[in-house]
Amino acid sequence: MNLFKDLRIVYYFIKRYFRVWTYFKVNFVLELIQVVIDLATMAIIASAAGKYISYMLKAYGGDYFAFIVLGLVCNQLLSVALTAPRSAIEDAFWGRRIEILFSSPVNPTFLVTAFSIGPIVRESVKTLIYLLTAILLGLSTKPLNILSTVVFFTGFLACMGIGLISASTLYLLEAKGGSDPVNWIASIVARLLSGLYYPLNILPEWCRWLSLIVPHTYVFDAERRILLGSVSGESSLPIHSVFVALGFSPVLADLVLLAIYAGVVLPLSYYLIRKGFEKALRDGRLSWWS
Amino acid sequence: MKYMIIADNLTKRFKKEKGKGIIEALKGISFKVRKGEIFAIMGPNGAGKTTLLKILSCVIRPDEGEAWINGYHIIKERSKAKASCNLIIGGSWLGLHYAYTVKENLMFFGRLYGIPKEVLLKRIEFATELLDLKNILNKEAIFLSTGEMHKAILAKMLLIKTPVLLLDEPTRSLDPVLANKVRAILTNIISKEYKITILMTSHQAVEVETLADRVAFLNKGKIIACDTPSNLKKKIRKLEKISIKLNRVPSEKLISKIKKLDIEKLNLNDELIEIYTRELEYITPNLIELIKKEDLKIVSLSSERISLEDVFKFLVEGECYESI
Repeated sequence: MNLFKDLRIVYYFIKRYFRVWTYFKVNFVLELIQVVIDLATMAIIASAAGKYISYMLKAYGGDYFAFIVLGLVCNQLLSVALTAPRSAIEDAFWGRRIEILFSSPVNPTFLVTAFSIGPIVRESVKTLIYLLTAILLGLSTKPLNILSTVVFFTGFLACMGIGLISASTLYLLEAKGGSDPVNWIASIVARLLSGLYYPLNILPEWCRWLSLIVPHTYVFDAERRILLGSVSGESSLPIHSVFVALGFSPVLADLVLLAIYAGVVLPLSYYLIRKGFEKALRDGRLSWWS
Repeated sequence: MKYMIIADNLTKRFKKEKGKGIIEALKGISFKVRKGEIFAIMGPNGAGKTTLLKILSCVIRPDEGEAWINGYHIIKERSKAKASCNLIIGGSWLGLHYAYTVKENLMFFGRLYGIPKEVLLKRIEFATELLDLKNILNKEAIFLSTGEMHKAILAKMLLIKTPVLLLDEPTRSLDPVLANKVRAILTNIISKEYKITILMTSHQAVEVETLADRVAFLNKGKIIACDTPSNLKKKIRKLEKISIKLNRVPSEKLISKIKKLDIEKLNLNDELIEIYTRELEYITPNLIELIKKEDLKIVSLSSERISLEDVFKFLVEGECYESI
């Protein structure tokens, strides 16, 4: 199958996903309104608490509203990379479409990727609304540049890798029904310890080390430094000191670590998802009516 | 001779729920289907028919044995094997997406097989005409009745012209008129015009008798007979069926007396007794005599040459299997 055909199939999946997303109109509208409400809530919290914690945000420019908006924007997209492959397979599984899709000539791993693009595009649309609303509410950042784009995509690929590993547990561990250990741990660490809502330096040392197990930590740190603060400056992650000693800036350290992360997780995820499907084919449990 | 489907010693075991034991769904199935042939698999529920179709369409892997579709090995050359077959399978949603209309669902299926839009639109138009889809073509799948859903999914066989069609119970949930139409499409268009090899499963003996060039009876994971429908009937040609309806349910004593006559098999369904025998002329007067002695009245009595359905029932329920 050539690239053009592959892209067309991805397009059909995205098109179908958008039909589903907008199918229940009230839900669709409320989901978009929710984006604005979430942001307004953050703006209020930031205006109330910002002045008390801005001194902890020196490396990131000191503006709590910008700090949190940037974190949430990145998190929105990274989170969908974590959950999209799994929820896409589960949707086809419970909707009893998976066997018909898998009996088609399209490669199964490619199908999962194609399934996942729709939710990613959906979150990108929501993120855009989020950013536009934030700009209207006074968000000010440096312009996006190549470094911030590269950091984000490397982090996104790393999260996609975790997402695919999480999807593989559907069949490898029979972890069906909405949650699995991989996604559960990654989401909790990302929410609590990666510095999404507050800077990492308010956490105990062991929590900061624990935060390194998710790509979010590196993405939040690097993006906030690039777009709000300065690329160099003092270390904010415990592992930075190792890289700073080698002459790396914290942002470069984040990027290198993300690249290593993605380099390990992506091939592993590809291997595990294949193993998961092989197990499902062997057990006859690709679909729930088998 | 080119075989489009070869199954060699296919065996599949499933773990029972909570890992308590194993169910052997297929026990060393072997058969070959020639190019252009309509090959039917008949069997009771749980015989392993759908498992067999899923193995051949590469969505279940066999534990033992091998199979080839259009010359491609289903495991070693999976993508080529998949590109050679079109699976149409039963079940409630049948692969349709609820938010898509029938037309959009069909377009989506076609696109997965790389069929260009213009070709698909023409084929959908053709399918609409043949299967009478006009009223449901722009209806979202969520609003379809079970029969409409089945009709919609059957249109897939007219869109995707792979060398092999794997069809699970093609006329399930269809009204008799449409069921006949589907049978005609399978014979005249899919088989004769498109030269597509068809492997279908069915519960309906009449359908199999009309459509299939050959039929395999599958029971408890094993093929217990495989031949043309007429040959299968010839093999037990002497066997005849007597159906007697009585005015009340016969006593056990009478049944045991009947069983002592020269009969092959007896089915009792309230007042209705069905007897399979090779000695019709000898049995009938004795049977009537026994019934009279029990002070029962015969409401109706008929004898007939057995149909494919009877052959199937006879074999599946079968103590007399060895006799053919």
